[in-house]
Amino acid sequence: MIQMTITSLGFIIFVLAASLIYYITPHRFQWISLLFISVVFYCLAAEPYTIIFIVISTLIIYFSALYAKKHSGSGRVAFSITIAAIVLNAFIWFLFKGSAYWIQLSSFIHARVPAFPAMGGLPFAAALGMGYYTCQAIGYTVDCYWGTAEPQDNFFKLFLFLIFFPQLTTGPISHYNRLLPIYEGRVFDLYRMQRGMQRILWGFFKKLVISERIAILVNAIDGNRSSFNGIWLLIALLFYPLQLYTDFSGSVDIVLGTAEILGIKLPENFDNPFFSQSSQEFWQKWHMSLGNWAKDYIMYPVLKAKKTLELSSGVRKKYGKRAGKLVSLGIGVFFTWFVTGFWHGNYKYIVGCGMLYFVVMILYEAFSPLLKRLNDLLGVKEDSFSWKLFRMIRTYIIFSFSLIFFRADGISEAIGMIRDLFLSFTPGIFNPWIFFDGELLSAGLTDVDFHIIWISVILLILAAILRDKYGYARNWVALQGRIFRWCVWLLLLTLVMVYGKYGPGYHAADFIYQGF
Amino acid sequence: MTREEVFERLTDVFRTVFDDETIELSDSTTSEDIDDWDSFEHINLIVAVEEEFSINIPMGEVTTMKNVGEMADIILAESSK
Repeated sequence: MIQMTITSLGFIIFVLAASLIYYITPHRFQWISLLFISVVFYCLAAEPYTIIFIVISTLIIYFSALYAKKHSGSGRVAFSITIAAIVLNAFIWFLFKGSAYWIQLSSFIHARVPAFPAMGGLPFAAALGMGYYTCQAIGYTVDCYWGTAEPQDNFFKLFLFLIFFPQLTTGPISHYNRLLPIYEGRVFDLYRMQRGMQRILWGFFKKLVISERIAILVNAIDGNRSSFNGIWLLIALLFYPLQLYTDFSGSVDIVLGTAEILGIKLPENFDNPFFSQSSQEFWQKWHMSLGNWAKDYIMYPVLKAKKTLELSSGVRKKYGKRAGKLVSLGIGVFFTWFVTGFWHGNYKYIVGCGMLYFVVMILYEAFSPLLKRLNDLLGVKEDSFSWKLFRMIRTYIIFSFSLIFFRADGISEAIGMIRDLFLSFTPGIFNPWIFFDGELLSAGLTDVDFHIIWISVILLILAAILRDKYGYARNWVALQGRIFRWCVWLLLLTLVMVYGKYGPGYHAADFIYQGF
Repeated sequence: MTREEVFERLTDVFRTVFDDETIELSDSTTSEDIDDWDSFEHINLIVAVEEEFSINIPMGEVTTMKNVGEMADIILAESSK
């Protein structure tokens, strides 16, 4: 198996070769060449035999959708088949990506009932991108059942929908209907190629210059919490969201840029999440393709289910409109968070990502009238920049706390970390002087590294502001004169080449979201 | 039922659901135009619309409708069934 991470030079060469093959193929057969390219990529990036799992998933959704359509007259048959296809896909995912659940559960039972076997992992590797393509497969099945998508009668075309190579690494999760252009032919477009390359370069910058650098700091602190305590814990807490963002959104930039070169638009996964005023808004702007998937296929069906409606209208009649809304909100948020937490493959994510936010959102919703009155009392100007900035920072801090569960090895360790964080301000442990006595440089980063981080963060914020105004920061750059444009891209390229963490002796860490 | 009648009754539904008597609807009104229209209120709205017109809006339409114009078309289509 060749190492084919998307930040490697090999990947760039692969993309260039792929686009050459793609564009010299006659239009009618371009989707076939895309399928061929995707299969080759798969064999280079993962254990080749695991491709069988994607084939199985395709077979399930291919036949179930066609069969359900044939029996669309009988709602019951179509419904049963759809449910069966969903359960089968989810089960395969659960066997591999959810193995932590059943391994832990079996050892838990084994400790109490020795006759029950403690199960180990499976003897096979999981398919690449299983968490992503399984969501797509389920979405396709449901869309066909709802009648919003027409079942695909060409098996290989459907196979391409699941295995399309850029999105197997870190998503995004596409809706079938929106990926239909993948089957159309298209001519080479230099402008599109440039735009794609620019986006890939920006992704490299985020991952190799920022994320990899912060990773050194956070790993040093997390790896040795007994000597890095006090303020260090606060540093790790506040830097980790930035590391995760530049890692994950950087990889998605590379994926979307690659697809753009091939003329295919994949859904965005991030929309300046750190500008969010509330946690609810934050999650509408972070990992959007998973959020939208959960909204369409989990939350809406749950909220529109008869039982939920009966319950919320019952509560509304008895306790008023607000209470009714709170109940349906609670049910919707609970299921959404549970499923997206579950998707991350470990119970600590359910607690960290899911339940923590469930509580935060419900409390926020419940107390919002009270908070509003408090604001009026204090004379807070709700449309002032300072108040918005405060809310942004608050949202960031809540997020950084939820990520403790991401970083910790388990729930109890996470709780220990939170306790230590609060203890870090007690005398004897409180150590703000590390910023001044040079100790800050003992965690693997040099003076230069810290400067690069600060400058990069300013660039990130600048790009985010431009993105807010122009759709993409690239759109703004494109409006500038030729010399300035070239300066921007060459400067970025230089930054990546000189300050990117890569090269002989250094192996860029895997993308955090590659494992799902 | 004419399209105008649908819009008239829809406006009432919107005003009740969002507690805002100033709401005016047009074909191109989207969730961007109404502050409280988020994904949760969307479902409450759909349910209120279903009750008002005694129809059942299919799940597929719930997730894909883009603006009030489309909503009106769906209502017309469903109530003529």
